Amino acid sequence: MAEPIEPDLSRREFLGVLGASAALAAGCSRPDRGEIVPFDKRPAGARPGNADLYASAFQEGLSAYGVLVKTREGRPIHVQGNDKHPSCAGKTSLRAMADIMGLYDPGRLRRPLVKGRPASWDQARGRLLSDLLGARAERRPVLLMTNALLSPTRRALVAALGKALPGLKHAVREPACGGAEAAALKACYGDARRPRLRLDRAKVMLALEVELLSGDRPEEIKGFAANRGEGSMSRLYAFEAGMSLTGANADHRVPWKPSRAAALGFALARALHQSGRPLPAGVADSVLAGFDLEALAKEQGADPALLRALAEDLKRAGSSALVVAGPALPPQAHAAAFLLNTMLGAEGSTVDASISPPAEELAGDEESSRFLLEAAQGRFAAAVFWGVNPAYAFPDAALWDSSAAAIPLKARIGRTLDETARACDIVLPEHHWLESWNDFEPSSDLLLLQQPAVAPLYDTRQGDDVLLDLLRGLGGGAPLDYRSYLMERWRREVQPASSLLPFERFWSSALHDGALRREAASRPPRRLDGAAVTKLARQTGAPAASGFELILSPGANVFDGRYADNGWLQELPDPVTKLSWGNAVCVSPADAVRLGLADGDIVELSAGGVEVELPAVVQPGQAPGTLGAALGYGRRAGSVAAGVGVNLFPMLAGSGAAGLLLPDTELQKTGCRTALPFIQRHHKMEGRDIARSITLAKSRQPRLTHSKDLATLYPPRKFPKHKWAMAVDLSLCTGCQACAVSCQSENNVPVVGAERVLEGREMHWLRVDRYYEGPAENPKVLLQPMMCQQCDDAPCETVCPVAATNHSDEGLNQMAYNRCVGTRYCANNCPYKVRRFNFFEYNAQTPESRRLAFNPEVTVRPRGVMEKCTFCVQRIQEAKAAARSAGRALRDGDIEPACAAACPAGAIVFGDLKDPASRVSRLAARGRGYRVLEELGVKPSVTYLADLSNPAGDRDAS
Amino acid sequence: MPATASRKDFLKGLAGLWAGLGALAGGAVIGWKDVFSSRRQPAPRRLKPPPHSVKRDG
Amino acid sequence: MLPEVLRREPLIAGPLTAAALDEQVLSYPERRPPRAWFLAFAFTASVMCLGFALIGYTVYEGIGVWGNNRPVGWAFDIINFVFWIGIGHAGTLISAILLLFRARWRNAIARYAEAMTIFAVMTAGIFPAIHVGRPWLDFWLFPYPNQRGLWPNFRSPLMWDVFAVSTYFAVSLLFWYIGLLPDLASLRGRAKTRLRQIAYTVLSLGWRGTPEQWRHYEKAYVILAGLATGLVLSVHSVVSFDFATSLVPGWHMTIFPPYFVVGAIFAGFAMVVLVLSNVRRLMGIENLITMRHLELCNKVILGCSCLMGYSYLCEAFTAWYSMNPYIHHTFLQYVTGTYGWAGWLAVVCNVAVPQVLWSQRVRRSIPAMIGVALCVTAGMWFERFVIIVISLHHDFLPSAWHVYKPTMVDIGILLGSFGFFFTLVLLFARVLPVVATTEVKATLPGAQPEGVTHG
Repeated sequence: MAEPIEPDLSRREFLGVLGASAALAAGCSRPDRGEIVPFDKRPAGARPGNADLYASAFQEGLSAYGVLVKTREGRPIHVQGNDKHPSCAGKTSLRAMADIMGLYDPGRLRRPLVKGRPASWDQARGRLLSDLLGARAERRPVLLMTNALLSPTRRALVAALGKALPGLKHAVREPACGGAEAAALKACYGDARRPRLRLDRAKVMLALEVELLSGDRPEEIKGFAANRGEGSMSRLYAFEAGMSLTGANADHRVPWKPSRAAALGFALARALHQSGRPLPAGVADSVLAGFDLEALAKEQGADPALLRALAEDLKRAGSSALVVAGPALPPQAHAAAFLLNTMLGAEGSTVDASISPPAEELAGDEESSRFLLEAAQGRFAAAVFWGVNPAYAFPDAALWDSSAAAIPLKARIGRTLDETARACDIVLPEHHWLESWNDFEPSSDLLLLQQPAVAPLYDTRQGDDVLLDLLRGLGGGAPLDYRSYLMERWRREVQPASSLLPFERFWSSALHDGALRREAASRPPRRLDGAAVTKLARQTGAPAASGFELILSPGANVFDGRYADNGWLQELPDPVTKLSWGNAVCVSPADAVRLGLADGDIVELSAGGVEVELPAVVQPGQAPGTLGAALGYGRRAGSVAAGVGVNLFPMLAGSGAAGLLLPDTELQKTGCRTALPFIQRHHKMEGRDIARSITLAKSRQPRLTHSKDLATLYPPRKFPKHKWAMAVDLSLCTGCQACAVSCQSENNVPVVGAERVLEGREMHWLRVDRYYEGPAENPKVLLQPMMCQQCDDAPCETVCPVAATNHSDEGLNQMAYNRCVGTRYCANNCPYKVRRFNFFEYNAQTPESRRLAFNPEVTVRPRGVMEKCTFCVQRIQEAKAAARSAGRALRDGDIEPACAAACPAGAIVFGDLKDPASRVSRLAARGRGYRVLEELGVKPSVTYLADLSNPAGDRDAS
Repeated sequence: MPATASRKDFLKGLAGLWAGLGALAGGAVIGWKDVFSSRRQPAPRRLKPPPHSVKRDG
Repeated sequence: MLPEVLRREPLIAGPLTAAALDEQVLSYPERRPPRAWFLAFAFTASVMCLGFALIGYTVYEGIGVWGNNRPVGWAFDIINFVFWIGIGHAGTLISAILLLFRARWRNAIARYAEAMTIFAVMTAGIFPAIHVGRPWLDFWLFPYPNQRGLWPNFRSPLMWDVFAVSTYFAVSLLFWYIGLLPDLASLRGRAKTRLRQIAYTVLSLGWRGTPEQWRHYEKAYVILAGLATGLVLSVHSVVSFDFATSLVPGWHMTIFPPYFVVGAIFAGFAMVVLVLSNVRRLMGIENLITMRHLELCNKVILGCSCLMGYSYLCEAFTAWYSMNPYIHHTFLQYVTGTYGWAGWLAVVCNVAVPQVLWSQRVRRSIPAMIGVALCVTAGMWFERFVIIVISLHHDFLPSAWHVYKPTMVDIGILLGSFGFFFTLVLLFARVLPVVATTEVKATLPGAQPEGVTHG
């Protein structure tokens, strides 16, 4: 009999070990990655995988823009122009596109705060209402400070509130709008209505210290672009201190001190008068006697012949001329512009005041100071700050502090815990405009409707709803929500009496379109008050100040600081300086040499007793004796905004500040330096043929460039069905960078931050290169959007060891993100340097709320992977699928990459080269067409059309 | 030196060795995957479409 | 016997028998190394560990912890790769090419030089592996059948690198190992401890020293030398194709393959001189690695230096003659731009300084040759810096121009690579015979039939 085997491990112990190991294995579970949960009951109209479009409107200051909001699975992911907008037709403001990130700002307030503690809406509202009731009972005034309303419904609401609360003092503040233009309009025309500029009707334009062609002016860019082709060519003169996009695109740009802009205007008026144009009533000849073009030219170092040519051009253009003075100039300059437009007959033609909306009384710094002084004396029982941020933007910080301290109850309606919210007792979190209802009247013949594209993300209310609620609490009868209030007003006042539709149909149709054209109430044309002009002309003389003339303008991207927390807008560089993540003071090359200044030197500016320190940038073309810097930086609140740049609003409080122009500023070196995060660091083309510009006359000669037939070892590629290509017209492009914002939004391009930009790792797939050619005192500026050229013989494709990039049979250079191991050889071999490498885990580290903005059609790239422009291949595929399922062929124009769709000038055209009738085929064959670095033999698919310039004396002025 | 280890002891030792190595390898693999997958964040939440807005057709 | 004046310096200084040679060389791995070895090892191993820790940090955080940016996509990573591959070339030239030329003076130094080649290639191999953005996917560069039907892109020079470097490593390792067999067998015979006996038995693959085996050994050795000879010229040419086949101005030049090969031999011999001039004293083998050996190495260095100077002139002339504005600009950047100092450093260290080797006094002075070798090593590293960083930072579109700044991680990994290399060198000296006793025995006086003494 065999001996029983004695196990060392008893059965009990064995089972115990088995259980323990199973528990161990189960315990090491992977984190939950979420589930795909299909709809149990699909909400009506929800189509997962298809985008929904909502028409809406975006308001900023005194302008409103139509938009279409693209949503996927309930999330807004992209903002583009509204095709049904009568004048903009599919184009919109750059900041409208970028502000989608405001919806997803992780810093958004999610519930009300009372004395810094989370509270319920009832608690917060109750507190505010009881204080307002108390104020009414005691007959003490209440301050309401808001941004410009621009909405007739909102205006009605505030008016109604004012009736229910008689002590309500409403101050409308737009810190970035200087008050000089409004003052001049009131003085010279009797009302401050701002006219609409019709650049499409203008053949000769004179821009005096004004930015007409930036990304927030899509209508002006569109109008300008209408006259920048071989068919019809305008001429733009720009007289300015700093380099703006207007100056960069001008046919003639003259560095000119802002204090002498008025003199120039009056001198031109005198020249026009001397050549036969009559002066308007009330303006005597003698008034203009002191202004002489020749003398002025000599004084400013300009060519007198050019000024004479300008006068000639203006005269010949007559009603097709346009003179615009910028917001920083004093009222005298505006008066001169009004005078010129009137004399030329431009009034009513290129300058159209007939459809101006009712003017909003803006409380300038002086008037706001008066309100705050009253507040400091304890006169106000309460104050409500809606949208405005005076704790940051009000120039006199000391006055703000003392007035804030003396107001017993301060309430703030806003989206984030910004500087003002921190100072307020009650903070009421507000909807983002993508969650809101409203209407806007940008001109009296147009109403734009704003409707939500998404249900509110957090426990927020629309500001208008808060006021409506207060109105109800104060006894004024009002519907339960603002939407009803809006619909009521539309039913009563907007739907034409002649309309046969039931209101619901009319309303739905209006919401569907987003824009409603109306008959503008006819008004008598405005008349220029000659006496006022005379008075202002007599005030124009040579300035006595010896210091620099400093112009403060709203940041090109961050505006007055309200967008400072938007990473896209901080990283998008200033279109001229190409500086991102902060502001700097622009100094002329001559002054820089004299003072020994280089880019990055920190200087101290002092004006009227106020001193600030900020870095300097040597700006080619800046007029000597002038300085320029941007407002909207130096915020103290905001995870992105805090500490970026320097707050220059305090400088506006200095004595002697005349609006945005500080005529006597001192500049001193501090001896310190800082590294400046430039997106582009080298500004000359070094004699290379990259961005071409030719005069109109030369363009009419037979084709100047020949497509180079270069020897190649590679067999020619075959494209059986489509060959996608692009044409970029440099003459139409103004350099506004709306294309770059749209691309970032569409393709989930990450923001990398100032540190990474300093290291040279920005991720923009599409960039606008800016080159200076010629003398630094007044260079020619060339702007060139540069994206992946989708080269037929792409140098990046041969060198990738894992074949992560290859060519499609439709002409695209394809990037397979999941195959890329990240050797970066392709980026080295790309001569255009359009490839971007994910040096860090940029996308995965995005906060949850910002990830909601990702476009689900575009892969979100991980660390270690190369990415680049794909000609929006997702849009190409979508259009092909749509055409296929509709059973038709693809048509030219079916596919619009994000950049082409966004460009207000229509400078970027995409299409199929295999279709000879397509726009891109015709553009690529134009005489002006050329390819960048064609001699390398890479066969790029992007044809650039040389910029056309139309200098005076070039025979063919229109 | 003590009496030679029995065959059983040897098998036990061998089993222990393999178990140890397996646990080590398993831990390494799971730990590695954890590090790389925990860097991916959970899917963002669902947003609701607006109740009264009118969207474009098509 | 030749007259005194025509007689060459003997390859072995002083009288030496085969047995004494065995004892001198083979006893080293058997003894406890001196304290200096432990100190050196501690130092190099810590530097190596620092380097590896920084590599781990890089893999964890991303390539962003280095200084690479746009447009400088490659910097220290590829500079170090090319630098170390280059250093490996001396060993192969000495082992293989000089064998085929029957230059007997190679015998004493071939083993060490070939070992340095292998270690240099191992060090170099770290860099392609870690320089990619997703190093855990490095295996995709190898052609293996997979269910996605994907093969790597064989048109890419980086793929050629994969094959060239792997081949180089494999052949060098094989060549070196075959050469080691007789010595390993000797060590097996002398082994005192069980561990050593087992280890050397396994490693010597059953070498018995029979005439049959010696015949096979000689044949294999010569065949491998023939294969390796081709590699001396091909490997660094292929590495140079990374640059020459691209279109970057400053890279796209036909002179690159021979220029790189010369540079590699140059840098490699400098490292050989650097190491051997110290090792011979520290290990007491001055009689085996004589001043003649060092002087011959220095002559090669001098020759290569002149060829480098010629290459620089050739490049400059071609760049000027090409009338290509991009290459004009790049060349100006080499000498006057932000990194112009690096360009001058490379020229001075590579062309000017080694000219002192024309003097025989200098060639035979240990401090001087160490100084020159250090200069050449630094000069060659900076030459790769010049080629890679300067060409990339200013290429076609000026809007993309930017500067490059290395980070501490870059520098730490570079130092770590030196730590790795020297750690391996020290371990080699500790564990294996550093001189090929078999081959040196062939050069002992009396070993060869009279009348055909090759010096």
